[in-house]
Amino acid sequence: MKTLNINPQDMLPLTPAVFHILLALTEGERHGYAIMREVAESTHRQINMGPGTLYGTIKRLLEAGLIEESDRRPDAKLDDERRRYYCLTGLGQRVVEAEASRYNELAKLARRKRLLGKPAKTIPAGGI
Amino acid sequence: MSNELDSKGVTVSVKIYERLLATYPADFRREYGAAMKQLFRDQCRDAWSQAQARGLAVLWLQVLPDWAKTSLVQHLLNLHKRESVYTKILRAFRAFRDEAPLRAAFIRVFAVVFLLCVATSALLSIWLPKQYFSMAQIEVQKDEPEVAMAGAHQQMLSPDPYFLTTQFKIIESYRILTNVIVNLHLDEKLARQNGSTTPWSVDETFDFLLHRISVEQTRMTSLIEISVRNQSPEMAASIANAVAGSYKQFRLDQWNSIKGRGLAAWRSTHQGPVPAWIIPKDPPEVMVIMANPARPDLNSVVPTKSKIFLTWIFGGTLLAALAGGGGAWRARQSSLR
Repeated sequence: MKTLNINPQDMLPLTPAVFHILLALTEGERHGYAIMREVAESTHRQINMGPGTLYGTIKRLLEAGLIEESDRRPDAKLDDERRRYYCLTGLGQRVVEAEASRYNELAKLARRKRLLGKPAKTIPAGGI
Repeated sequence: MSNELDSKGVTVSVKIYERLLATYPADFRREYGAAMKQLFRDQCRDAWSQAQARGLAVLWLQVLPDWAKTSLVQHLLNLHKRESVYTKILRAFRAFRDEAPLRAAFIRVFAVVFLLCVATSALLSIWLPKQYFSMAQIEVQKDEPEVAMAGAHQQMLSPDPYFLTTQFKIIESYRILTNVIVNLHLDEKLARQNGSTTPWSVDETFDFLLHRISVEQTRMTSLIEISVRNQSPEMAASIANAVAGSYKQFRLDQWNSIKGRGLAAWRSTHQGPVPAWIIPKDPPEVMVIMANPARPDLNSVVPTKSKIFLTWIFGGTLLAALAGGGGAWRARQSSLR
């Protein structure tokens, strides 16, 4: 697949599901259920993907060349050897870095606008 | 990890989800169906270990909307990606134009199939016996009431628009044709003509005869044409004339069976002499007139052979084109491997 000439910026912004799946894979190969759990835990269960969403997104990421299926198969004693493992491609790595950088810029902007770093508003006793 | 350890709730949930997976497009299911099922089983086990049935219920509440949404999305994506027939034809045409081996494969297969079709049609044309055609023309008068009314009463009798088509069906009916079969001994003659040593049954002969008779209206007239085709011109003519004769006899028999009923009906309601405005009916002999009896004609060859030949040529060209396309496709597949 010709992925070297693709500018990662052209693929931004990513949808939250795509970004979180790519983020989950930055630490190494993972199978579908591990990706799903990682996403759920890292987002404090704000993003709960179902099997359809997860594999629909994985299909799109494979077609776009952002991830690839790993040849690695786990030890049959430790895990189900039928599981399919996925890992980031070079392009996938550059795209997730570019998206993280974009979020960083957004966060800086939000700080400059004093939207971030402020203490949360507290509700006075007795209600509003 | 083994299935034996799964609770019944998990097993049933996985089975239900497996059924739901059938709603995804086939290619998506083939690629990810097993992985999705495995993932759902893992989710079920976790949910069960955390909150048993309640955990499974919560999981289903999350999974059902996901299933409904993503199965629809995958179908829509499939529709979007599917190549139109026009694009496929265009691509095939371009490949045919640009790739010499494909062209060669097409022409080779096309030529072989086409030649086979031409040879078969030529053999069939030679093998089939000649068929002769003979036609009898008859003029048919409509049935009139025995006691016809004059003046205003006459106008009340509306003409039957289906009279001629009804007569066509009568002429081709079992009653008329079986008379012909019996009178001309067609069960024996046609059986012998078609290579059978024993006579056919009347029903077999009727079926055979029915496919060799056509009854039509002579254009712009009220005449009826009874056409018969047979390997013998004499037999074709005699069958056509016999059909006309049998039909004429049928009409006369019909008239005789109701003869006198009309006048009797008038007399039952009226007294005194029959008034002058009652018009006497035409004699029954003119109800069916043989306008042109059929004659044996050696020149009236039914164009069956040329029809067969042309049909085979036309069909053969189409078949050869299809086979040629198939040959080119196979050549392309083997070149891709």
